[in-house]
Amino acid sequence: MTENVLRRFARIDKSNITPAIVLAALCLILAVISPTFRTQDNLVNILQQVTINAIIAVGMTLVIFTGGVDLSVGSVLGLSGIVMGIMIVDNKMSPLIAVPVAIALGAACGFVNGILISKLKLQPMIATLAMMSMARGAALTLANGKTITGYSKEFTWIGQGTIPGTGIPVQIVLMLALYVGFYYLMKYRKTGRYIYAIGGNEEATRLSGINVVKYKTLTYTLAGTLAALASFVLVAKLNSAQPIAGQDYELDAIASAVIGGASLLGGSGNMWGTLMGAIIIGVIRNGLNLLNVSSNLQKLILGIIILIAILTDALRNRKRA
Amino acid sequence: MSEKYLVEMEDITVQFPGVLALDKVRFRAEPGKVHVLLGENGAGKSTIMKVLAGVNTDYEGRIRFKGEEIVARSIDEQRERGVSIIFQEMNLLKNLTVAENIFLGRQPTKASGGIDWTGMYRQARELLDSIHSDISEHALVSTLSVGQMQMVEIAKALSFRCDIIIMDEPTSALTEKEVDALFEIISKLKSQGVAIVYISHRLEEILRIGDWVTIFRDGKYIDTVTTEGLTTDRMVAMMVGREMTEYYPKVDVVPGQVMLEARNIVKGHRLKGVSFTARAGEITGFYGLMGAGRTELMRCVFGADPFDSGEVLVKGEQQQIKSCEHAKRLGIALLTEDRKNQGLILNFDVNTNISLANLAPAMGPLGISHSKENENNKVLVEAVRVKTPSLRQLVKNLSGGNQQKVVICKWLNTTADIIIFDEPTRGIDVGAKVEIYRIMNSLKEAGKAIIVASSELTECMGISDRIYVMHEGEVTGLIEGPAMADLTEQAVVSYATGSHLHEPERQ
Repeated sequence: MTENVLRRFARIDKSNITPAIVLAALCLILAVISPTFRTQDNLVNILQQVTINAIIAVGMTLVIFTGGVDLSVGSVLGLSGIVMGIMIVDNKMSPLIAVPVAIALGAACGFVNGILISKLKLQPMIATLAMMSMARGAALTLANGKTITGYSKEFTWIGQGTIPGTGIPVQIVLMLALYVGFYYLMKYRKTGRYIYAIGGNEEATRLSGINVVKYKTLTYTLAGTLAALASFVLVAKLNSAQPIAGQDYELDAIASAVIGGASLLGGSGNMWGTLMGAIIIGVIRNGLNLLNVSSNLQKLILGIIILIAILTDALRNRKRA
Repeated sequence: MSEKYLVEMEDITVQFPGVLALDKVRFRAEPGKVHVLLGENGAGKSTIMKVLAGVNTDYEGRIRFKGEEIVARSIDEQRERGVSIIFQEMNLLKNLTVAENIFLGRQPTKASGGIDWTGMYRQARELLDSIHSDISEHALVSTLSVGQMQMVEIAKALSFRCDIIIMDEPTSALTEKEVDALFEIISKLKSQGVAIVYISHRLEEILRIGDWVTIFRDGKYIDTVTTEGLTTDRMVAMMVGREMTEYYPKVDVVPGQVMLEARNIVKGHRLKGVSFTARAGEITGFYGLMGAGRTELMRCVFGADPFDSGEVLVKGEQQQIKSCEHAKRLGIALLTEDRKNQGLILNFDVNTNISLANLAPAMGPLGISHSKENENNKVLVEAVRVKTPSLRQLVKNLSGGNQQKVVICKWLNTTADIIIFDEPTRGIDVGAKVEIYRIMNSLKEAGKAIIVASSELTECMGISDRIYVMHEGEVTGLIEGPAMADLTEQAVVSYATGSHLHEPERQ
């Protein structure tokens, strides 16, 4: 019955339902072998742990839809978190100013990536690798080795609070709202159409009279913006801004998109798949923790899972070609 | 077994994704004869020769070579057997010299094992001399004209010892002098007992040198006839399967205002100051050989590529067209020559491809309405008669003709009134071609300005109301008005090869 509903959903989206099935199977196995896993607390816990990656993965998915990739999101997250901390804690500025400024900074980093890639035709990998290093360097320099802590309750609400009267964590609501919004964008707005089209065939899209430079730049700008938004949630969650925050986050975000069915060649996949992908990664991490697998080994296992997802994508594309 | 034939190919079938490229065709070649393969683009002429040459190894059917049953597994193997092919597409490496290209991968060596450069250049010179070519063996291929490159390809093919030479449109970019030299070589090869397979669109030429003519249509074998007593009209009729007048339906429309005008467009050495006009209710043709600059010109006008200088006037107003987006807003559409890579998103469905250039008809109050989009596109698909099981069908699964119709739908979905078709029927079967010509005609009747750039001479002459002929980045001829009535292929070709520049014009 659930599968039926899922299939209908999937047909509407022209995508496969594999990520949802994988997720369901994973949950089933873990629920059987670990009594702790199936507690409500643990399930909410998983979603809370997933939010940061899931928010970054929204932007990453947009970029991947165009056939690109953004390696700088983790560093951009680190940088905007530090800038937020310096403004709020060191300079006693209002979060109402500091947060928008920090998010605008993330957007600016993304915009630079976008211009480098769409206008100056750099390889996405190379341009964002440079940005990754620059943003991290800036964060480390600005922080000067320290962690910035001490925020107001109003500020940390986004990462720690719940919606009044419901007990639902704010960050989960934010995450879901973003997915609904971007799902709508991709399915019902011109922008979404054009983003897919660019990934499907950039030259044909340009020759159809679509401003490819504009839309590509937009996706990278959104990726930067969403990374900065994730930094807001992260700083609030931890009550601390760290210059090394966000290291390796780009990998998790790419993995979420790919596990969710987005092709690294661009032009296919959907938002809801990425959310599934992000939750799958969260569930695997959670399960491995419950099974007392060391964090080093966890890294290895996740690496293998990412490899499998990418291989599946590559084989699928070979068949497609 | 009959030793009369050097090559006998029976029941050859080749399947390409979505298209049956060859359907149980046969072909035979006798030594010392010129066998012409005749058919339109996409008829399967090149495909069957690629089978024989070992380029296309995925085929069904039997091949008998010198009386022995063989399987064509690779180019090297077939070359070893004595099959040499001159490709239609240029396969030369541009950064190497002429001689290096001729002896690529098999350079003569000295006893020490090093390359015998002097020997290589000497042999290349001898080969070029044998075909009366004055191209320097030391010249870099990138500095040669398209015609000269073709001569190098021919020299390369001759450098192999062979029993059969396949020439796939060898003269398409040659000047008349070069063509004469080539025909002399062919006669010499014939007298040596070499079989020649000759693929060409130039009908007059076929009558001059051919012994046998084999006609293919739509991947099917039609007939093999002797050239004795054959006429060009008869050849065309066999090629297209119907009479010319039916094939190129003409409608008479009184042309309106000038919709598009270009003045002195210059782009590097590809376009050297090209001017033209295109009027409403008229089909303006551009004919030229490969490298003549047709495609470059169209791309510049459409804003796809920047150009160095020149003016473009749209509906009488001067415009600085900066991008395709801008051109589209001005009402210009370009249906690119490379449909698969530039015209369509192959992995997307028919619906999405049609809506790409204009989503306005699909917009509802809450954004894209998929039902409105379906409705709108369904009307277009039916009007243009795209054969597709549904709007959800992926475009890559459609035939070439239907793919082209999807591109046409895409632009009919916009407000474009200047529509440029670049090689509109390349790789499309005969039936679909006629339909596309009819669509062009109905657009013309609707008062749109139609531009057709084509390298297919019969098509360009058949469909256009006036023709610009281009050669190496320049307009070398404009045929319009009464002159269109008694236009000959030869006249157009002489403009297109630039030979009218050197020789007195013939009637």
